[in-house]
Amino acid sequence: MYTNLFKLCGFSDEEIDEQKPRIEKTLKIIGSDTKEMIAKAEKNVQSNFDCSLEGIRMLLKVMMKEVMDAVLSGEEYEKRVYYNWPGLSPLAQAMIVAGRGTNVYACLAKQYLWMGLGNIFDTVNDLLDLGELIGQTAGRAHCPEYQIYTALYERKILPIPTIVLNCGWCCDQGPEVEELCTKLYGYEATYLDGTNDWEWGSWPNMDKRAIEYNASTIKASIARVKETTGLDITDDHIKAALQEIMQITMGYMTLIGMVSKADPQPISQADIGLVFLIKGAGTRYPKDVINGINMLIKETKQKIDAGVGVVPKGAPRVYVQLRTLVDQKPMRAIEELGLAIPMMMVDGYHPYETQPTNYPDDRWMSLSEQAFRKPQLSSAEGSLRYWEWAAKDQKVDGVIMMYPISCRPFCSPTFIGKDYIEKSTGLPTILVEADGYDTRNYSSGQIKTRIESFAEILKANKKLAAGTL
Amino acid sequence: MLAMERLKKHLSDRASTLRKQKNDGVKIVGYTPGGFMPEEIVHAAGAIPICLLKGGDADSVIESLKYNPRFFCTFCKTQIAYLMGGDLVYNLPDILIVPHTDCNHKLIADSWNYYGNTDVLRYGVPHNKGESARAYFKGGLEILKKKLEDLTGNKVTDEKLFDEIQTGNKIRSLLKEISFARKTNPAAISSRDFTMLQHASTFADKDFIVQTLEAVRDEINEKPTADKNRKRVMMIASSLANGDNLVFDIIENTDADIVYEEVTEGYRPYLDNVEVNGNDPIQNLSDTYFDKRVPAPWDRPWGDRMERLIEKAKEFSCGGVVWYQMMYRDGFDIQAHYFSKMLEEQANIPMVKIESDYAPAEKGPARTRIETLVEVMSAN
Ligand code: SF4
Repeated sequence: MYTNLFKLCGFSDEEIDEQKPRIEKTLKIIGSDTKEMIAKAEKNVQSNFDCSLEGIRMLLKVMMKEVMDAVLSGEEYEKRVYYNWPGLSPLAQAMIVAGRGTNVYACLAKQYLWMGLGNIFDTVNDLLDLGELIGQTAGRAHCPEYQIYTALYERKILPIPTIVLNCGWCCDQGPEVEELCTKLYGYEATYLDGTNDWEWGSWPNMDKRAIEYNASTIKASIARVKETTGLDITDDHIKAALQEIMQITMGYMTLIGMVSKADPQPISQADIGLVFLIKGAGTRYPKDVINGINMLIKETKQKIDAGVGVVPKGAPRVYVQLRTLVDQKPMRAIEELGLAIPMMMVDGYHPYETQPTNYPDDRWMSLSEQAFRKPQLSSAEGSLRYWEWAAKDQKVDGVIMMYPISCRPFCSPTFIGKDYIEKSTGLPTILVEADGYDTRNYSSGQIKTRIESFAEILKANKKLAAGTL
Repeated sequence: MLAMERLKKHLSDRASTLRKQKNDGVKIVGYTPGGFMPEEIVHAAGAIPICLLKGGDADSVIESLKYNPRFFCTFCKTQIAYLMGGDLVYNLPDILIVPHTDCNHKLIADSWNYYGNTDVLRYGVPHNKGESARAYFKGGLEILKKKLEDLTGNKVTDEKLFDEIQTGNKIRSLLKEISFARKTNPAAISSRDFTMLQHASTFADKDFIVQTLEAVRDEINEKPTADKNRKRVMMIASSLANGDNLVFDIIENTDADIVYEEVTEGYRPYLDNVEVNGNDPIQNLSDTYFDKRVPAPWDRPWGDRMERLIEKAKEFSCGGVVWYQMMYRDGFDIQAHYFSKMLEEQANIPMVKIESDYAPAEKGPARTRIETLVEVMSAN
């Protein structure tokens, strides 16, 4: 029944056979153990990703394995520590590294569940409906990621953890829901804390006092993780984690670099989205991820060499401010309108972000500083400067300021951003409502309709500039 | 009440008085509500603090959509509309102080920075009460002090601070005395009037407000005790803006009175005074303004907030709770879910949640809900 689905997700016949008990248990727990649900998943995964690409299948396999590990961690491990987004990938990956070979499951279970249940199984809407009944009222722009999370506990899909390390540096909603869940489901949470009180004009020189405070909360949190699970995150773990992250990030940067330079755009941003998701979360399978990215780079190069692409050659270029995360169809919809997307969201590194740290002798302070130099979740003023840079650097013809209606940190500076980009670059900019995790808040069809005439303007502008109109 | 009438007059003239003082070179310091901005420091610097807390009107919500997405706390998102709409009070400050509590307040600071011309100072309010959080908040107050010294050219000495703390304590103590009079006599003062005193205490001349509070305290002691059959309600609010009368308009037509309020934004916290001894007045201020406070729903962990609220409901013999929150104020909605159950289980007190985006159409459903609560209370 599920063989084809798992093959689409890169599993061989032998692997499917070998993993049979785990696969069947997982499907049952997540409620996708019927013919109809499997057929739905097959259709869904192929509408999100180009499964003919081997690199995509290799990465889907990682996602699927992570989903199974998360769901089965209740019976396969003695203790569980989850790291909950949004947050600091070096810390998350260090936790994963520290957990290897121990009886502690350490990973980003929540992230992999919404990723997999959204992008492969198409079952998150049902969970969202349930989450809305548990303290996150419908229609009130509650974070859908956390609505899903709550429902995962309620449905007993996600085993109750020993402790959760939750990141409240840039987001209030996450830790607020975490608090509710600790009360409802009986576990402990520890929080990274921050107040995002950066003065306007200070980016990227993040205030030392704040960095110190942020770093102090990391230290306290990892100490608490150690006390409750025995998991000791050492310097060696951090070094190894940084190595793994570096390799994955380099691969990702190579890939998006190739895509942004090529004309026509060789592969869809929807497919790049898969790499983005795994890169952002951290992984128990870094080698598989690196191999998958390398394969995707190879396949992309073949497309570039053959001159084939997902949009016509010479298509107008747009910077898009948001990736939808549980479904990749909006990116395809934009490309179907004949717009090339060389860069999205936080993909590039503003030169300020890569400046050397001011705190070379303090690991946690330097990591905090680095995290906050990524402006979108911390500084509105930094975001404006990032967007201006991205638009100019990528020589785009327009900006699609797509914003998630139910993520306050991320949607906060977008209206200001539209005004600023128009004034600072003169580029046509359009605001588009969407969402990271809740497809009930948008549809790729609606997004397409909303952007259609904007796309026509960009095409006409291009022809006008070339003297062909 | 005579004192209230005099206060109304004072408030109606206040904006133009402040404008004159500003023209004479006095610095006006605006700040956002939440109780994390010690006015004592502003006074000690020789400036005048005013809390910006207008709200309650639907037009400001519509106007705000020009500037920001609508998915933010109703109170917070409308603040930019008053500034840009030319409101006299909002255009007075030489600086806006924004203690950052959550991303809704960050929106206020960002919008003022981007769209307005007023200088903005932010300092963070950490979300727990641990040692480094306390140190961080105190550090924010030191920054505030320095900024105000630079703005006014006046040195904020410890002596001046202790003086101002004495006045601040007087205001807090009087508010407490007036509020607590409702323990025995719900007719001592209506919640609407107590709210007016609260709001006025952050806008009126400080000596005038002390006199007013003393006069009100004296007047209420003379008041006859209310009908014993009236029901007693506690209101827990996320933000209670000046002009937001939704709950008062409804409750005043029932046979219940609000006898105690826990208002996160819009009330001056008055339960604890600031220590007047020692040699570090900023530390003393930080202890009261940050540490001793009833935690807010955005705190993590939640701390003892809910226990303290239940304690207050019992202390004031409340038979029901109106939980009033701004729309899109995530933390309140999330906590309400758990708190209502806890309240029911631990104190057998029913609660109703009212939510507002300042839309006139909300009044009908809100009335039904509050009336139902009052009925349930009768049945208990
Ligand atoms: S509100 Fe936004 S930043 Fe916060 S957890 Fe949700 S999606 Fe992430």
